[in-house]
Amino acid sequence: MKFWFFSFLWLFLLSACSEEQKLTPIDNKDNICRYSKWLRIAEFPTYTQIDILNPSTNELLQTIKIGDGGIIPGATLATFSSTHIGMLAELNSLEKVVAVQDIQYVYNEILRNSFNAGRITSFGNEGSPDAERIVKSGAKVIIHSAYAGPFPNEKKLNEIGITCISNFDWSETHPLGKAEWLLLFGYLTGKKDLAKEKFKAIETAYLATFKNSTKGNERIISGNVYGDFWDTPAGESYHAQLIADAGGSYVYAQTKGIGSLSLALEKVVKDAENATIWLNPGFSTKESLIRANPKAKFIKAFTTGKIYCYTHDANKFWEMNAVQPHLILEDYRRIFTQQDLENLYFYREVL
Amino acid sequence: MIEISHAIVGHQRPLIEIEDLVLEKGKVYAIIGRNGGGKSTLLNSLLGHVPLISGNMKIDGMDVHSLRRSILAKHVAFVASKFDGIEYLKVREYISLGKFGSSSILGQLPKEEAEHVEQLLEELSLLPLAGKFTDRISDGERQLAAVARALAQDTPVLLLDEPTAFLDYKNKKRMMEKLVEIAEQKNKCIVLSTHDLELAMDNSLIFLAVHRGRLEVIERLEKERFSYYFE
Amino acid sequence: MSVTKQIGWLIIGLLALFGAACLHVLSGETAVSLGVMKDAIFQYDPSVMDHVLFREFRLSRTLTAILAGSSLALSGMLMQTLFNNPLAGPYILGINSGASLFVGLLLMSGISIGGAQLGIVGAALVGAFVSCIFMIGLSGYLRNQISLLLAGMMFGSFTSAIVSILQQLSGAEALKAFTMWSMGTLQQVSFEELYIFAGTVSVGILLAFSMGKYLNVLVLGEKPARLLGVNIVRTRIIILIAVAILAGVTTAFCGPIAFVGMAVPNLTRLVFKTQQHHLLIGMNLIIGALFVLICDALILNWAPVLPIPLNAFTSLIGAPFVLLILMRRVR
Repeated sequence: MKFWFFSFLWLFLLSACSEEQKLTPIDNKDNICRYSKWLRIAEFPTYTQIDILNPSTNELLQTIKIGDGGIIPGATLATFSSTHIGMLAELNSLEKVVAVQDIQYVYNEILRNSFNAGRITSFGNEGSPDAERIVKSGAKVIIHSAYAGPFPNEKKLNEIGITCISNFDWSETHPLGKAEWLLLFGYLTGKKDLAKEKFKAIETAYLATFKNSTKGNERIISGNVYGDFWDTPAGESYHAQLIADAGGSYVYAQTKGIGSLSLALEKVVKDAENATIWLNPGFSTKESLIRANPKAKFIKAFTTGKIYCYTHDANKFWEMNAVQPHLILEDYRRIFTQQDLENLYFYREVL
Repeated sequence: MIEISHAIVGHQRPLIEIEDLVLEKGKVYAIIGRNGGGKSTLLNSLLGHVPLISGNMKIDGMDVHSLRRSILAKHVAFVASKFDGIEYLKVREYISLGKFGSSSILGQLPKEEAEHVEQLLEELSLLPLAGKFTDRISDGERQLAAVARALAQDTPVLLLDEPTAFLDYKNKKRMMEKLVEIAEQKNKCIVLSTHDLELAMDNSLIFLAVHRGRLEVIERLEKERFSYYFE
Repeated sequence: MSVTKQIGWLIIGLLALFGAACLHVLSGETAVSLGVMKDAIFQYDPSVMDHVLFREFRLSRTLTAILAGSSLALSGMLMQTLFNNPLAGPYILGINSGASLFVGLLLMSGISIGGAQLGIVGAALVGAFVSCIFMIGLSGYLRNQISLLLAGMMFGSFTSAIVSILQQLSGAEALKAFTMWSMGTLQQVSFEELYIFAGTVSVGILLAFSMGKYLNVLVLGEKPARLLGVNIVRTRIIILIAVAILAGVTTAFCGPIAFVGMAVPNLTRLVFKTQQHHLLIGMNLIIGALFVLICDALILNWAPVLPIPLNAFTSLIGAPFVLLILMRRVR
């Protein structure tokens, strides 16, 4: 008899607790994010709720609670993308990072030093990091890019109290939407006010540059040949948005899609006949460019135009581009007007 | 003809010692003996594949082991115990390969040589098969084709390694009789290794018995003596 | 097959080749008018963009396809006869790996080989020849085919390992350049370079042709061939040199291209049912060229909807075909 009574009591309490855990999806009016498509944040008196949507289905993928029984702000973090590092650097919260994906590609000085001092785990090239190693690293929260679905062993990790957060900043099409993920990091590190402040500054700078830019003058071509095909951003992508906002007239601005286009080199040569600026060929010197792609010389911009790229310091770009879109925009504005070219932030002319 | 003097045949350790041996044209010799005794090594030595431990072997007065391959091929021809056939290679083409030395750079044979190939096809009753692929004919026919190919090389010496081993009874007989015929009519020196003792006896082959490290020449072999040579 | 019949087949083949070449040259995303084509060929004017596009992107690619297809098919045939193995291809002795190694060293290590002038093509050629010389040297020591095959595979593994290490240590740009090369493409050859390409391939073809009658005998196997009077060592060396020239120059200009060298010689033998190598050489050249032309024309036509890299396509067609051959053989 006693047995049955206590079982029922226990079950009742359990269900009551889980009922408490169930959160309703964030309503539009409570969402403080203004540009991001996949991130929603709502502040409540005792906790903050973060909803993450799945870009492929547009449905709610994950709900995270920070505070009041959920994630404790200031938890130790494992980051699986360069952009995450950039954002944490902006918030001066790199000491929370205990694990990174591949130290070889990390630009940030502080993290590198920490790694050398043995305080950070690097997962190198592991396609599927071992759950044990993750636990050993001491990370309480894992932030990953979810290119291929859930994090390996996600369920197991959840059971031992490690939360996996899918960060879809790479799937945002608006540069400010991408930068807005800074807020997520703000809440995770307990520095939400700093994050909001920083984002406001980024937004302001971005919009100011946007206002300043003269529209539609320079014809821009972007990308390079990879094997038989030329890869270049499609018209509705994040890159295309940046170019347009900076006042450039992108050759493929009218195309559909948010990803990349694969085109025949011949077609690109023809389409780029009047392009005066070539962005992001993937090489930092003309010599290495032409060596890898001898027919690049037929692109008018190679001989009579200007070429700019960030690969002379690629890691810096990959880390900081998401959180500093205003700086990319400013670089582009200067490149397109060919003024103030001495102190470009990310880009350098390819000579 | 073949002249062997003071020869020791073997790989690292000596297998057969031969003092003096002359094998004449027009005759067929059968090397017999138990397995592992050195029959194959003897044949391989005659072919120049395996060097002698000492002594020399001469064919038509020339030392086998110091001749270039292209020259040696004009003096010795070899038939293996089994020819599995090559897909898409016709019988006529296969036999013509025996004359490869005299073919032009485009692979064409001079008229007389081509006629010789036709002659061989007729002699060995292979004409109806001439245009067939070598992997599509029977084992017996294939062996005959192999012999024809060796004959196309037009060499004074013909060596065969157990030519009747994989043939049925009828073809065994046919093969042996043919070889004797060829030796006599074309004045060739034919040496073969075999386990078909009765058949060899029936055709009056001269036996070269490999026994306990020595080679014995036996003109007439008695049936009762068979097992002796296989101990 | 009589000489007249052989010549007949050759003529049919050449006509088919011409037809396929025309089809190929007109394939692509942007339409090319016949008028432009005529002018670009007969009254070429380097200042007219359409002429430049046609010559450098169409004509060049078509001729490259023909040269690559024919030389790979021929080198595959040579290897298959030399090793009496229908699964042999031009890359099994590591010629490709040697080329990869030198291109990898050029692009990804700090070492400058021959200075900036050498370029990818030069590096690949040097690599192919170094492998060839190494293999020839080994073939003097290794008496039989299987040993030589294994040695080639070991060499290939060894160089691949070094390339992997280089890839790990290299910067992003260099890695990208190397990966681009190793994906294989027909469109990197400029019109002027075609002369070198064609000239080198011709030398390889002549060499192969001169070995025709030896190849005929080699089908019997190395031992019987030796007994028929063939100098195996010398024959092997000359054939390997021909393979190195043919496969090496193609890999240098186009990167590695899969399966052409293995599948086409089998197809040719199946269709013509012969072991007469003079005919096989001619038909392999033609069918090899046809194979690559058709594959590439399809890729070009499907590109807007479904971009497929060349190697993927040749493997897609080649692999099942080789499987079919295997099944036929096992019977």
